[in-house]
Amino acid sequence: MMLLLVAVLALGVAALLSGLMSRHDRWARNIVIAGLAGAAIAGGTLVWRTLAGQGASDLLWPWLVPGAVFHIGMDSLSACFLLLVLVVGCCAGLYGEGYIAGSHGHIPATPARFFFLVLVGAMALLVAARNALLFMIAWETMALAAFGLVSCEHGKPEVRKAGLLYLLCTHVGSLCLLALFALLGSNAGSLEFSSFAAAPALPAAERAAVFLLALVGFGMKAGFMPLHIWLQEAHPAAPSHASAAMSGVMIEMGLYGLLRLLSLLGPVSLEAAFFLVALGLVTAVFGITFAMAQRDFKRLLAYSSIENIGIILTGAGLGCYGLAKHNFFLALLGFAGAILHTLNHGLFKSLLFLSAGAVYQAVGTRDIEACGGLQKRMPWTCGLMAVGAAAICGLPPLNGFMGEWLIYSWLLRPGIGHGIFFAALAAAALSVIGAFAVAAFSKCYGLTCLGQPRSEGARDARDPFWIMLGPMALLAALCVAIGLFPSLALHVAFAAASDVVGQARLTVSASLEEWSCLLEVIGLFGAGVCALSALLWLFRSALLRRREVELGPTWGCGFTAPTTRMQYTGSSYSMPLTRVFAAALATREEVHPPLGYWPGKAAFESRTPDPALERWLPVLTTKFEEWLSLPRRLQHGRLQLYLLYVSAFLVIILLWKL
Amino acid sequence: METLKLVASYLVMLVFAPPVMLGIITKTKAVVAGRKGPPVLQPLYDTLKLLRKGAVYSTTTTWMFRLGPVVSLAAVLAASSLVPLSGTPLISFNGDAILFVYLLALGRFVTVTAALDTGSSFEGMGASREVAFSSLAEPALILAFASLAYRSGELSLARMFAPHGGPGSAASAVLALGSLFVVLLAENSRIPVDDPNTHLELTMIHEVMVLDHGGPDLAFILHGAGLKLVLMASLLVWLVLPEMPVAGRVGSLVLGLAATAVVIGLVESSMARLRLIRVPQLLVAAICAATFGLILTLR
Amino acid sequence: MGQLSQLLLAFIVFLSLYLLGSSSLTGCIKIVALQGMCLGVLPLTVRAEGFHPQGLLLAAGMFILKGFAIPWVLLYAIREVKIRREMEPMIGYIPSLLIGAALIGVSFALAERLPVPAGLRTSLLIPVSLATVMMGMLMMISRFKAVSQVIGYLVFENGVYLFGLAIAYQVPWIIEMGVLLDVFVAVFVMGIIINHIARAFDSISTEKLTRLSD
Repeated sequence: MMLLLVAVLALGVAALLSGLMSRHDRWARNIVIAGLAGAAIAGGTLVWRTLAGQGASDLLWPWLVPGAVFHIGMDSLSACFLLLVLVVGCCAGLYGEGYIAGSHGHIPATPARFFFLVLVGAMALLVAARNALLFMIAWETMALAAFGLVSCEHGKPEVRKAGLLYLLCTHVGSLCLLALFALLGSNAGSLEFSSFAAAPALPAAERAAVFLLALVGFGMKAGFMPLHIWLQEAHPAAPSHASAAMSGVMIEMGLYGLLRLLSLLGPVSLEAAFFLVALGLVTAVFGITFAMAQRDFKRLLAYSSIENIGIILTGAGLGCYGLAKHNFFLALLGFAGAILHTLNHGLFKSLLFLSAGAVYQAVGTRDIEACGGLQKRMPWTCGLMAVGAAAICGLPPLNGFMGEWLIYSWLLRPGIGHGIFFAALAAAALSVIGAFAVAAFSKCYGLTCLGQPRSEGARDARDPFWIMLGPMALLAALCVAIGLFPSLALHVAFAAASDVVGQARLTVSASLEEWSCLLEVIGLFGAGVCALSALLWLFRSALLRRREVELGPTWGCGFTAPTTRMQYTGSSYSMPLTRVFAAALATREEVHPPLGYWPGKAAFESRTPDPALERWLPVLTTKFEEWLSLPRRLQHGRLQLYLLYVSAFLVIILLWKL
Repeated sequence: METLKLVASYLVMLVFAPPVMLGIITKTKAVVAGRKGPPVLQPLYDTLKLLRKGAVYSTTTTWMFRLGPVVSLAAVLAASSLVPLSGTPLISFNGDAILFVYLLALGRFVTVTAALDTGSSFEGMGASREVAFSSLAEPALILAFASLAYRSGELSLARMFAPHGGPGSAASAVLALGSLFVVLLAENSRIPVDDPNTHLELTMIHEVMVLDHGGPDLAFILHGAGLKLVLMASLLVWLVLPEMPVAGRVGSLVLGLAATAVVIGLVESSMARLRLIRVPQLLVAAICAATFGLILTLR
Repeated sequence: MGQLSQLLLAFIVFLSLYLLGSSSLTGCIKIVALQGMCLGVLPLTVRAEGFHPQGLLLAAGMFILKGFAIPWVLLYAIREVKIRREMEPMIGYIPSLLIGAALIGVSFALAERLPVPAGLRTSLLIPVSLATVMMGMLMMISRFKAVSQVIGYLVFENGVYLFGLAIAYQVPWIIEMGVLLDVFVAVFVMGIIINHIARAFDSISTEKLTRLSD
């Protein structure tokens, strides 16, 4: 357990030192790398030991804080998330050094380094915390560090706005969590997690309150559908390595919180499980539909994070269904699907954010319509982005398919019982999500990287240095590795899931073997696809060796003077689908069509605002503002009246208490 | 020996079934229109001719363009090992139906990105339509698979499409059949969704995506597209075929494929292409029909 | 409940779905005609133990009336008033289809809970009739033109007929004859009314009728 402390301390010390060394850029950079490396070695060893079954005993230190104990522990669930924190944190941190250097002073180096290390350290502590107060401290540190990262470039007004929105949302979530832990703590008589588990069961009303508070508190961080409002604003505003860590790991911490709570408090009711599945699917469909309509590629990625969180929540809801039905096999399968997808999402989403950051830095814009032709100019970045895009669509030889396949297998399993029709509908919804993901990410990758450059910036783009490419390549390699050899990742996911389920590990371990066999077959199948492709490639090369291979312009269907601006744009690419969902998307278009026989300037502008943020929330807030304007009458600046308030308050308190 | 025979018959099916099926469709259309039409093996001759040709690549394109046809053919070939093309499938396991759907999606992804690699606005248009329409076809496919999976109690293609007698099975099977047929037409760019013989780029879907491919690449694409048609058609045939001894299964599959080709040819001769904005409606109708079939299966 | 009648019932629901997605007015009338023919054949497949002469008569009557007479009247009405042959939906085709699919689900769920005799519980007749009734209502609610409302009414009535078929095992042909007569008269009256609306307002959209309210 000391290893975790070492890792967290390494990160913390590195954060402080890098802050102190802000004058010496080289030193600060080396300190960051050393801190990350130290954390990776210490934390990695701990993860390895825990997953290998040599769990360390918990660490309990008395603490000066009233009611709290410094209590950290490690089980498979924690280890699984710690693994994600370390892998993504180290890759993104290393990349961040190159990214900060490449921004030519746009990103202030010191806060970016400091807050990043604090974020990673706080998340590492969070997954190990076994005391509610410690958990909350880590949670808040994580949230504030992320706020620091989001508002790094606070010179821009949209960044300030996004930062404030994020701060507001995360505090609403934290408030709910405080209330949640207060409720649980008062029932258990202590803030220890273990005492929550041992405490007598709550009455029904309070159970419902706990469920709702957890859902809002953790869901605000994870980005469940109406609570996602900060996500699509904060991710584009943050520096790319920070968005990678936030989207790849931080929002998953919300899921971790839910799973941890489930492991402590036991099964939720059947209705709640249904609700979770439905919420997950709605979130996912919503996220991917809006992802498709975006022009800003980092916004697109942010919406796709919402989608993936939805898929993960669906898996978790299916697990809850299994728990509620006392079918531990189904519970394990659902949770394992959710956790496996969490791991995978952490890998490919951070890969995508990192490559999107490289593209942003090289081209100077996040607008898909201004990119294009980058594959020729930055082949490494775009090639890695292609891997990430294929993985996030859940295509077979890569890792994205594995988690989704587990969830599909759950849903299409005959004999689940009463909800079977809904299971089939959920499977259909999942397939819609998958197909839309293909549409969104063929747009994200294809329109950004392929074709011809649509702007000056895109024409002069170049690949970044190895310090940015290396972490991306590592993440891509992990995506491929999990896709081809999934059994190790599956075992990690199953181990973590059995921590959520509880004692079920012994009863269903036999059928786990069967599932890991199936996934191995799928991995082999993926390898087969790769081998077939290689064979066909050789066949093709052999055929072409003896023939003439020429180069020429793209066939313009008879038109002889095409310009790069005549290429298909991202908006037109997604139009057939966005038209079908026009009512839901409510894209605002401003069209100035060419008029007359000799048309002058024509213009077209479109924007798809977030419905929750810009349509639904204002309805609520205006009502709320009306309410809040009532007590404003008390505030008018006259000293005498304020004195009156104070004395009146005192008198009332005295009267009430005496 | 048995495995050898299985692999050999698979290879024969993989090589000859796609061109012959496309040839029968063309022949049917020609006969209905009162023409003689090209020989049934013409698509095979075309493929062989393309394989012997050189290639012209656009200067805009990158390795993605060259990779597209190869991977899409590899994906369809891999998917074919899950479909019982010679009585039994090469590989079959619980859950391979999902793999099948996602392998088709892999093929689509690489074809679409290869099309976008050319930077041609026409190919971008085709790619856009392809992903839009297949996004609506995929849920219909999954719903139909779901109702068959629940009916048979297994999630592998070979078991799901095996003959099955039971109460209420005929109606739901017919509905699954109908929606699968619509998916087949949409996924393989046949009339009424797309016209493979059209000569106006603005109206094409699949053909416009492969405008820039030539030589062996085009041969791969054409063969892959034909094979995809064969796979989906053979699933339909297995759904219809009654229980029979193993010996008769290959022969009846071949006959069934030929009959499906004739039916597709008849549909194509008797219908016009739908307007593009009507296509989603057709696919949503397929989704509804599949849902209804599912309801019937589950009661 | 043989396989044949199940197929017929599934086909009847499928036709209602098709109606919801179809844009052509004449096409819709032909589909309703086809649905009517299916209804006519249906009693012969439901009762496996043999045909009553009365049943045969009723089937023939249904077949002719619903399959030929009523559609003919409607087609005649359309031809006479020379309207555009499109449906003009208030709810788009894709949403109508999806709502239709949802209604099928709802009617199956309702049929589970309906207190019907045990023999009927497994039968498809009740859910299919409920679905047909609901989709007919949906047609009437979501379409502007008077003719399409007549079509919706016919689908609705088909559903009612199916329900009657389900409850009364011995085909209650007298009741059914009565209903049929009602429908025929109703369609006739509507045809005449449509003609009159067209003459008075140069349009047969019921939207225009709202002007009469003040």
